[in-house]
Amino acid sequence: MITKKGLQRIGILLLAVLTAMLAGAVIILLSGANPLTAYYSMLVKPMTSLGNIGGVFIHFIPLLLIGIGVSFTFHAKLNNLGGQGQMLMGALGMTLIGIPPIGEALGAFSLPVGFLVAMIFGAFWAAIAGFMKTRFGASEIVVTLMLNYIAVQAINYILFYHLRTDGEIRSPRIVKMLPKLFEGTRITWGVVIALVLVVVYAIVMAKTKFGFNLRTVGGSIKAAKYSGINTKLYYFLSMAISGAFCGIAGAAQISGNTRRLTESTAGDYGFSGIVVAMLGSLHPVGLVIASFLMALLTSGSSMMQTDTGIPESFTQVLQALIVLFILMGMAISDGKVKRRKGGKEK
Amino acid sequence: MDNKKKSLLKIEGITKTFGKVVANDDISLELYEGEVLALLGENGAGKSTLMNIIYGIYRPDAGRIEIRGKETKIASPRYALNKGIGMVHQHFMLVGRCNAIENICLISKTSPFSLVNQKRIAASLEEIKARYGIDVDIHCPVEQLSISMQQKVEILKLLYTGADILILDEPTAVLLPQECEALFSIIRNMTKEGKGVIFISHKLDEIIEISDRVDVLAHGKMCGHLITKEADKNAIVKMMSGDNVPDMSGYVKQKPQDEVVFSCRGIEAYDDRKAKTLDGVDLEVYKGEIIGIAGVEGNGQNELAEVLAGVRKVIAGSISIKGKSLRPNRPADFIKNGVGYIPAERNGVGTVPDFMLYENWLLRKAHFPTKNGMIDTKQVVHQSIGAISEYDVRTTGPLERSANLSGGNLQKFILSRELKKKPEVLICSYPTRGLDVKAACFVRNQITKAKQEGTSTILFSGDMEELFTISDRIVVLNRGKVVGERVPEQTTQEEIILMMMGEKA
Repeated sequence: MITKKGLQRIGILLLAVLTAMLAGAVIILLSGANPLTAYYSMLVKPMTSLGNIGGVFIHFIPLLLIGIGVSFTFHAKLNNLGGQGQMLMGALGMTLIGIPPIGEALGAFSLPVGFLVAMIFGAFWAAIAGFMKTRFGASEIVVTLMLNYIAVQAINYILFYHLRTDGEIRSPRIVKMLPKLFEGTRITWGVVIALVLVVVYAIVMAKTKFGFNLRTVGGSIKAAKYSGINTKLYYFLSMAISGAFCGIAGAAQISGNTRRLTESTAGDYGFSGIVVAMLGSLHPVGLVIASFLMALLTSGSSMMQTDTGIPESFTQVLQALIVLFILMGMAISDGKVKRRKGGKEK
Repeated sequence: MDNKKKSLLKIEGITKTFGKVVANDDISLELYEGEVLALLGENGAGKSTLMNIIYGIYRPDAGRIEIRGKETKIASPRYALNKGIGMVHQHFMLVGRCNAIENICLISKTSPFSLVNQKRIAASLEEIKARYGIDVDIHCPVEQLSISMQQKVEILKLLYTGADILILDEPTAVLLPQECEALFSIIRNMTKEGKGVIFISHKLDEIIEISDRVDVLAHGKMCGHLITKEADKNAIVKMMSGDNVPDMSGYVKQKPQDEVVFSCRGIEAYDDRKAKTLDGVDLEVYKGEIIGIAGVEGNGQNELAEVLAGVRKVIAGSISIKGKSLRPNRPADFIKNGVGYIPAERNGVGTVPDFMLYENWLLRKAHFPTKNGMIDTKQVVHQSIGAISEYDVRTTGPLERSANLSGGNLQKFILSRELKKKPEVLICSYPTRGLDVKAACFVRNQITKAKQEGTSTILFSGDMEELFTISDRIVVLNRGKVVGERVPEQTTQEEIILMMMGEKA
């Protein structure tokens, strides 16, 4: 069922991506490169070989998982800017379970247990913000953002004093890694986990009372109260679940890619995940497409750097432009709706 | 009328319509210097619309306005202010963090950043305070002042701009009796200085005390000019209610049964501004009856409806249904035990504007239709389609966004959702407000039909005719208390209006 509003939404998103790329082309031109070559090495080249595609999927997994997590809060009209911290906490959980001696003792079980602990760690970290929001009315935007700094420094502390290996500030390797989906590539079962979780997300949002109530809370807090929903509980749960997904992203990153915990394990995924949720418009299929696109941009950026000399960080410029144009498009279309409504009421 | 007095404001033949609703129909009035003109009328009589026209917020469809004998078009509030028209709204227009001086800086034409100007404003405010006997701390942030003090800041603001046509929109609604006296003495000082005041109120006693003349509005029409000294209360009330006899044909009235299904005891509650608006309300609802609740806006009806529907906190009191006690402010508890609720706000409370109709069908449901533990969307769509056709909701179908429905159709949808659950009690808050005649009639018919099936209804309404037509009893609220109840057949609209104003019990 695609409604008129849905079509309009898709139009806005496509337009936003297109305008962002046009604006990006101007920047590339100004820095003296050919935009076509740059975009070719950024968007097409990563898909030309199996090895390169594996690189795209490395980014795809955490982006999708965090995108789902952020979507849970967006549905309740909350924001979770703490993906980075929650992902680090999840990564810590996986690492603690995966490294010797626990990892050795658990053997293959260290993977499911690790994922579970990562989920709990991530959920706990986000739940702090949920608690502050519901108990004291503290802005979840500020709290989640600040918790990122605390998480990074906490991880640094743990790495420095407790997990340091070979004189470097990083943890030992975990014992058991996620198996490869296709031998000879970097594509792991993490992709399957992420895709299954998208399906779970889709079912929860569309088919369960929980999902419906969460959307009601986001749609109108007064209507939610009218409808008998415990709005504070839902605020809290949406934060915690969001954190759980970010925690899983951390676990997938450790067990599918880096094998050990460092300060930078979470990279920029926390914020890129927000772009994924927005660009995917909270829709399950949209999230998959959006995280693939973002993964492409991220992994293509280094190829672009070698081919054209445009620095890798250009992707961040492009991401930011996409977000700006989405927000502008939404504001314009919502503005029209509001004006029409105002006219009707009078 | 004193011919020596100069006319400050004269309006003639003002007409304003919103869609099909005529809010102001050919209204004329005149304000002279040094007098208080009271404007009296029920809710929805068109007072606010008229004042918003004078203050430049709305443009009239027809009619002319003269200020001090010169015809003008008032294009904006800023223009009105420049012409010497000032208005104190019911909801104050003040910045809470700022003190009176800073708030006044905001509207003055000089730069708000200059210290010197602030001092000058402070000095002239002190002068105004002394001249009019206004006692208020101008250095204290406005949010720390009491409501009556904030009102004084508003008045100071107007006097500072030099306004001599002052509109006070229900200024006493927020005041305690002793605070009213202080306001009246300020008003008297203002008229002594030759200013003209338009004083809007529902309260007869005050109007008789403070005003020189009274203009009465009813149903958007001006229906009487009186000189206060010569008028008597009954004459004024008669004018307000008009002389239409409610048409009771077509509604079956049936004796309610003797069983109390729903009751509340000693309900006390705050409104959103933390002012205590309910002060010990007791109510007993018998099976299959319709209780009409009448009251002048702001006397606690909205809060009572919310408390009875379980969505507002109480300070004290208890609510029970069929002998079972309900926990206040736990809407889920109320829903489970068969309390239906039609909220006054259809978009945003009764429905989520962004949801499709079939999604809104699930609001305020204790049980969702499920299949294998999942919401059975097909069943939900099916149910909502049934309701849409049975209740004649005009829409493209269950996939339509709720926000796109007109008020009447949305109300029918909400009504069908609540009535399909066969509630024991239905709380109806202004169910026909803003609806056209046909839709309003449909809503009333459904409520009486539900009554025959045993549903009791508590009907909050500002429409006298509606209250008289379908209720079995009318309970009157005044200042957060029940002041009396009447059977419609044994009373008159005048009597109810007098009770609503606290004149009679």
